[in-house]
Amino acid sequence: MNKPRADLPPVDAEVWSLVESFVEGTATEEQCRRLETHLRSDESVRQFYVAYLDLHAQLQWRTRGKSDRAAESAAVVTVVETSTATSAVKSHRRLLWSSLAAICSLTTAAIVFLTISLPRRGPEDAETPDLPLKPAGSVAVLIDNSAPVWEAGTSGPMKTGSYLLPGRLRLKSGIVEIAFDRGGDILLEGPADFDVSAVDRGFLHRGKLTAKSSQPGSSFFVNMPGAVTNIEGECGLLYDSTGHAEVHVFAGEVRADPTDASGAALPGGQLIENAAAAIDPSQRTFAPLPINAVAFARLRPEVRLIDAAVRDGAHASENFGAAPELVVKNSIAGYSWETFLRFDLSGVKGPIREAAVRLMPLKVGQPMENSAATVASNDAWSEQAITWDTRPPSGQTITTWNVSSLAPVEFGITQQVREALAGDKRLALRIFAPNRKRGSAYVQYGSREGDPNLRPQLIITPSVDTQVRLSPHGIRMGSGIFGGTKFDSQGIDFAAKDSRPLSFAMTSFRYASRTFPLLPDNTRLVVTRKDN
Amino acid sequence: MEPGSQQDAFIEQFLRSQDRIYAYVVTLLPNRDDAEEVFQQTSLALWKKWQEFDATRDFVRWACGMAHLEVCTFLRKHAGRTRVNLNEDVLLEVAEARLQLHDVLEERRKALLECLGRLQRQSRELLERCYAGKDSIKQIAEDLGLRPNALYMTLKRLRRKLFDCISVRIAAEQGQ
Repeated sequence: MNKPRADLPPVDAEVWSLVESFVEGTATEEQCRRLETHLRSDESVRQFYVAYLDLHAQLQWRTRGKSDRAAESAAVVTVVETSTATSAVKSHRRLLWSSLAAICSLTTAAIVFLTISLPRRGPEDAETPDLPLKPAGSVAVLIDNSAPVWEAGTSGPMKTGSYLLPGRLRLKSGIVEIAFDRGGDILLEGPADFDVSAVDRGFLHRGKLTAKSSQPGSSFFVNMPGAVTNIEGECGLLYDSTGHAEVHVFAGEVRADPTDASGAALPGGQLIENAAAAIDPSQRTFAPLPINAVAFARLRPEVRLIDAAVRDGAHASENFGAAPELVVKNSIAGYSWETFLRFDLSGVKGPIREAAVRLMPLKVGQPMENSAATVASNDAWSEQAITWDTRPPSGQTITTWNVSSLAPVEFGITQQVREALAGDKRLALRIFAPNRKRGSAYVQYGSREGDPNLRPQLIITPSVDTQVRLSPHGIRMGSGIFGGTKFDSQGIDFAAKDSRPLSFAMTSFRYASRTFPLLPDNTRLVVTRKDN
Repeated sequence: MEPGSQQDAFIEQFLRSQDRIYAYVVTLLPNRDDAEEVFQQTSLALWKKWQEFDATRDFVRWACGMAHLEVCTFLRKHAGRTRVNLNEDVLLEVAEARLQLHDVLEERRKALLECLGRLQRQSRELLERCYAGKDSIKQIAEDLGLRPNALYMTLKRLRRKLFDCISVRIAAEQGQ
């Protein structure tokens, strides 16, 4: 075979027609056989066919999961596009004719304006970062939270940011977070045996977890042997090796139903709200229990985060919510990126002294300005669905900063956090580049699906500190707040110089971008000594 | 290679290549529903067999080989239905041509982005709506007050416009 040229040899009108009929699914049996004859005998037809079908495939690929908004918009504007063929336009013809002169003038003006003002194309392709799309078949993303150790024989990708297919996770120790595609979020503590079942569903065979439906109004299901829970809020679930099951509802409501052996719900269920119950699967009974917040304290972070970057132009309908990076770039159509963060503050207790967002740049193409603005309708988007086309409108810019190195970026948002705490306890931000700068002017930040030390953080300093005990052995911490003073993984080293149990004033500590509350007298924070 | 590294290499390759694998399937099965079904099956097969992936081999070629088997399985399973498809011997010829055109298709894909950017917004949105697969062509045509044939003609015209735009851009680049 000759080496194929990028500009393909021309083919005749019959081949065009046959291939087009085949693509649109209107080809008859006879046309299909005719096309086969051409394909068998003529290399240039094969090349044309492959190139044309590849174009068809790219158009399909780009619109997988396309939003309704663009579709509705298309329905409105296309009537004008296909005017000569539509009866609708015929009825408006007089109006069109009368407007023609004005349209011509405007079009001419627009062409002149665009010719003058549009920048010439540069090497943006090579200069613009790309993010991966979620693979087909995956239903959730695994987020490594606290030194997870997996049981021997646990198969599948187990690192931070791994896309999960339906399957079993056997966690020996530590904590992992599982972000389901439909917005459900689970923090699972080892030892645990958990099945990732579907985009909105899991099965706890053994162990302890907290589950939260992160999209208001959407349900998330977690089964246990003999029971199923429909979660519209936040709850803790426990199923131990003796078959003892408990559900503790911390926020919203959870419907718990007994199930048969196949998992189908049986009569006798209960709606549980701000209460707890022990479930006896064999008797199908619920016994009231006091809510045990302490038992689930490690699995209830003070602040939860979702994040996603969106890209314009040809990528405007694609979702990058599961990508391990966030991107900010302001360039010509097709090459601009913005990033959206949303903090769920429902775990924040008491008044705050100050709050700041910390972003970790991973790559800076060129020094550039980035800005943050609040997003008003912050429930209107989800991490696994937001695209450039569906991104929410933002309000006034809060702050602007210059990024020129990989040093962490930190900006205060105390007032915005206070307002969110007084409202729906959600704070969403748009991170963007206010000024167009082409070429390699972009910043890549770490996302929550990436390296735990590089995730976006909301650092909250509480107004009132609580005394807790620290023990000088155990795991290494990431960052935290000591008596109102922020510290990072280096900052904790001073504690290691003292061999005695330590005591500090603090209400929470942060690890792997999450803030965990510390409760007075019953919480022990263990710290690794540097010389261990 | 360590199992973890092999796994990472597989995931990275899979993420980078999904659109190529999908396109391979569409080349053999242009109907969107058919292509989606086979692509899902292929993805599952690849995830199940990632340990067999040899990182020194061409991933796309390996994955497309799996996709080809899934296409053939699909066609045999649906042999009696009304939708016409190419015979398996022709599919092999087309598949081979596709693999040989790999670099050409990469260039054409890059040019497609630019050509889409040159389409009028309403044309781009019409393409997106028709290709999104949410509504049938008949339904979209009804919404727009068109006959389905007129909409098919519009789509043909837009695809041809894109195809020609891509060819012109590539020819211009080769001439530089």
